[in-house]
Amino acid sequence: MELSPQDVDAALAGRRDATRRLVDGLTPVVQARVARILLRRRRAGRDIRQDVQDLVQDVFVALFADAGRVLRAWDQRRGMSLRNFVGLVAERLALSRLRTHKRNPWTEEPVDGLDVRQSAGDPPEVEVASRELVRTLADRLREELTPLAMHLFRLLFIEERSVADVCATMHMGPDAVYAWRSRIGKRLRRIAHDIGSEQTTWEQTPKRGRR
Amino acid sequence: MKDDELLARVAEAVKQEEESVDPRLDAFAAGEIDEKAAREALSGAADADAVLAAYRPLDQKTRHTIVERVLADRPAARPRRVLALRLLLLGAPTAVAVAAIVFVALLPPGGLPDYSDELMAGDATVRGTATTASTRLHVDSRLEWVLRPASVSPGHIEVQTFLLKDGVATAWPVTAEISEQGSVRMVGTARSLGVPAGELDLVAIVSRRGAAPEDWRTMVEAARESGGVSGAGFRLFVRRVTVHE
Repeated sequence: MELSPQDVDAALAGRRDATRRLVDGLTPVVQARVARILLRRRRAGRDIRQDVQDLVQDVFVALFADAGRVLRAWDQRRGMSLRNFVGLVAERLALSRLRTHKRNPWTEEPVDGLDVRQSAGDPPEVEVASRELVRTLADRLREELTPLAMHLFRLLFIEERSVADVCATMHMGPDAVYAWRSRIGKRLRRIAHDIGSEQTTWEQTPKRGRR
Repeated sequence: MKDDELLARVAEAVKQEEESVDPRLDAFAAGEIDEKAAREALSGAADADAVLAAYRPLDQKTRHTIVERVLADRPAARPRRVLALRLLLLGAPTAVAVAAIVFVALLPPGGLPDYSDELMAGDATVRGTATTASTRLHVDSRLEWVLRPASVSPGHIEVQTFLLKDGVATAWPVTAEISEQGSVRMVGTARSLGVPAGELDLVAIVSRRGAAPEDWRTMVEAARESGGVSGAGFRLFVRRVTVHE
């Protein structure tokens, strides 16, 4: 089901059929993103089905809240599909809920660590600590970045695309892309600092765990 | 650790998390593959049941709940209060045997003004005095149903009509005239309008374009009891008639 900016406008105008179409069209990606986030951070004893349902509903409410402020931020010209945009919103909300425990008592306790390559010579516990910190950083960054900024992060750092390529995809000038790149780096550094304040070991642990 | 190195490690963590999920699970959530295929993707994982529970497509009821919650949270979509008021059925013995006038006072949602409906059946033998009562008419009696806005309603108006008999709803392909002021009128005889013999409900939904609810059947009882219900950009009216030959 293709969804267009016109579909979004119609739903934001309160049209029932358009709202239904949007919910039907976006529920799979919202559910999948929420499920992925929850499953990797789940704890025994939780009804995951119920938690997924609740969060999916909350994502849609967030999208439409405040006269659709979040949904209106989607700009097709930035090279991001509506599904991708909404998926990022879903991840952001899910991570936020997990961290703040506002609606969900799931913890951030990892069930299975990320498969970060282990460096020779690092004591295992150091590497585990490092992986967990990196994952905490990743979660917090995804929670704080807007969908647009997260999309830029993806293009620049996950897909490692060139600035020229990103400029073409996002319809931005190089200066704007570099500015975003710098801003994301600063944001990450600030998050790292905050986590360091919370955990006190951050300043040492990455160095000890450096590959 | 420099910013670039930190960014690279975080990017790697995000990438690995994303790649840890079999794309078939996304397809499962989208209803593109069945549960058996999704289970195969998990290849005997210990937590397969939980994963499938998380990705199993949300059903229509849940999606409907989401739609209603979204609409309810929007100021323009809040269900409007039905305030009043029914004037029912004055039976003039001849020409207009039964006239049911129902005013439904509503705050205007979605730009749709208040509407009232008026049912006139040209059969004087039976008349009802309450909305839930059935209005009797002969199959060749005049039947006229008018839905009127309380104020001029510029903009597109559309009407959907249904017949509900023995719990089965069918489209009622009646020609409805829509005036420039937003009034809707259906007129003819029961026979010419395609209303079959027996007891059944006439259902009409006036709405802005695309605003008619798909789940209107869940609102029929409320419409009968309160003289109409409203939602975001629509009004639903139900009249029960008994057509005899």
